[in-house]
Amino acid sequence: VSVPLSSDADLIAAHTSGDPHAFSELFRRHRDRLWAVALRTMRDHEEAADALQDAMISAFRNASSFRAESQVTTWLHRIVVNACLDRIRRRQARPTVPLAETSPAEPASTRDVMEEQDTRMAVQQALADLPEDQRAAIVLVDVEGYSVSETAAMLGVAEGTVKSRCARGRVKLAKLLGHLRNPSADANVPDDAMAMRRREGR
Amino acid sequence: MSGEDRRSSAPQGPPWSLDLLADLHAGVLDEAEADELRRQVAADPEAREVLAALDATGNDLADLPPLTIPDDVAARIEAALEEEVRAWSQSTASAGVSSLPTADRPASQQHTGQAQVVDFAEARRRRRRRFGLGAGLLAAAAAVTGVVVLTTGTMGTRTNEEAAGPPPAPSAPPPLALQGDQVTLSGAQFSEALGAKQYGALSDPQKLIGCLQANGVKSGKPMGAREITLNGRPAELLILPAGKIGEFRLLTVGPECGPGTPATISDSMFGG
Repeated sequence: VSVPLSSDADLIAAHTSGDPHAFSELFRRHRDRLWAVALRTMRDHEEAADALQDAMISAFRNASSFRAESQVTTWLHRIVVNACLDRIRRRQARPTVPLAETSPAEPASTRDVMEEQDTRMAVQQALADLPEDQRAAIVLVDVEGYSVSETAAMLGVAEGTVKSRCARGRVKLAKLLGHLRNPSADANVPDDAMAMRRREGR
Repeated sequence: MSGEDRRSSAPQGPPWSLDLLADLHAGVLDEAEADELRRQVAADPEAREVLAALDATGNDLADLPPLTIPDDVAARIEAALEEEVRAWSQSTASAGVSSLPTADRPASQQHTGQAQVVDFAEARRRRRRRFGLGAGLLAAAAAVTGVVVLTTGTMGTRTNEEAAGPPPAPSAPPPLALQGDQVTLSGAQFSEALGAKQYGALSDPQKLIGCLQANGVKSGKPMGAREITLNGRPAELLILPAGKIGEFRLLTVGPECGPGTPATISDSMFGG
């Protein structure tokens, strides 16, 4: 049994020094959040499990590539997200299996349990309709609550790219979820044309 | 107002495009442009409705409940990590190095840059090789005696008895006392047994291989070996891959198990 260690970075150091239990301890610390990101990105239980396993094996073998200046959690998430996106791109031709998320955190009794569950199902379904790049950004920022800079590090893109992907994704979700009741009322100018004008205008 | 009028200046409206409002909401715009737009949008009820809709969307997303990793997925990944440790132990024993491959792996196997993901296909091929029949059984036998066998995937490789040092003195915990018609394990018991190498009466590699074959084990190798008592009777519990994600075969045999003698006491499953 490993001696209790205080930080994730300590565990990485112990792992690279030969402690056979250190990496498993690191996995146990973060497995729920890593699983949540994998499942919500992949939308398929088995594929999420495969992606998470591939990611953890990769992290185990490549722990020496971890840079001390970054957070261990950021590094782990990045590997998981990359593993997921890699799998999604390989399965592009196949249809997405609808996801039924279950969680022990489901409230036992609230005044509108059914309505709440309907909303969750609708949100989960709407997320599934997003392009994977937007979905990954939205899952990390809006669902999991990571900052834009953390998410940028996890996805390996610029912060502006994260913001932009979130912006595009939220518009689609707002339409799908009925928060934008009359999206066609949006100007007479198509979004793309408007964006083009903005770029030209700068 | 025509599009031509808009081109020469900062965004004008209303109406505003959804993308522009979403950019404002997400902090995409530079500060000056955002300030100017925010001031104008404040006077536009339709634009404020769009921003409120984006806020509501964010709230819906934030309200999704936290998820907990299912036990079968956690157990499966822990087993895969155990397998990594075991493979490392075997390879480093032959190479005479003492740190994990992550620290001392040759540069040719390292991936440069931060957080790069390894070649998964190659990783899977490596895993599959290690789970091959001949290599798997021999490696399991080697693990008992301390002999390292290169996992070449052929049955031609023989253990070198002379090269074997004395088996490591295990600081063995007492046998796990279980009751019932067949072996069932709690999650904690399974986790403890998964990494154990307590081969007991099956410490002789030839006996172990014969025992596994007598019980119809055609592929895979024990992922854990634990001395137990079942209803007070001494036995050896072997955890084997069941060929399905999250499922493990719990094969329990008597001490006499060996070539031609299955001595099966219990054959049950965990997970799935």
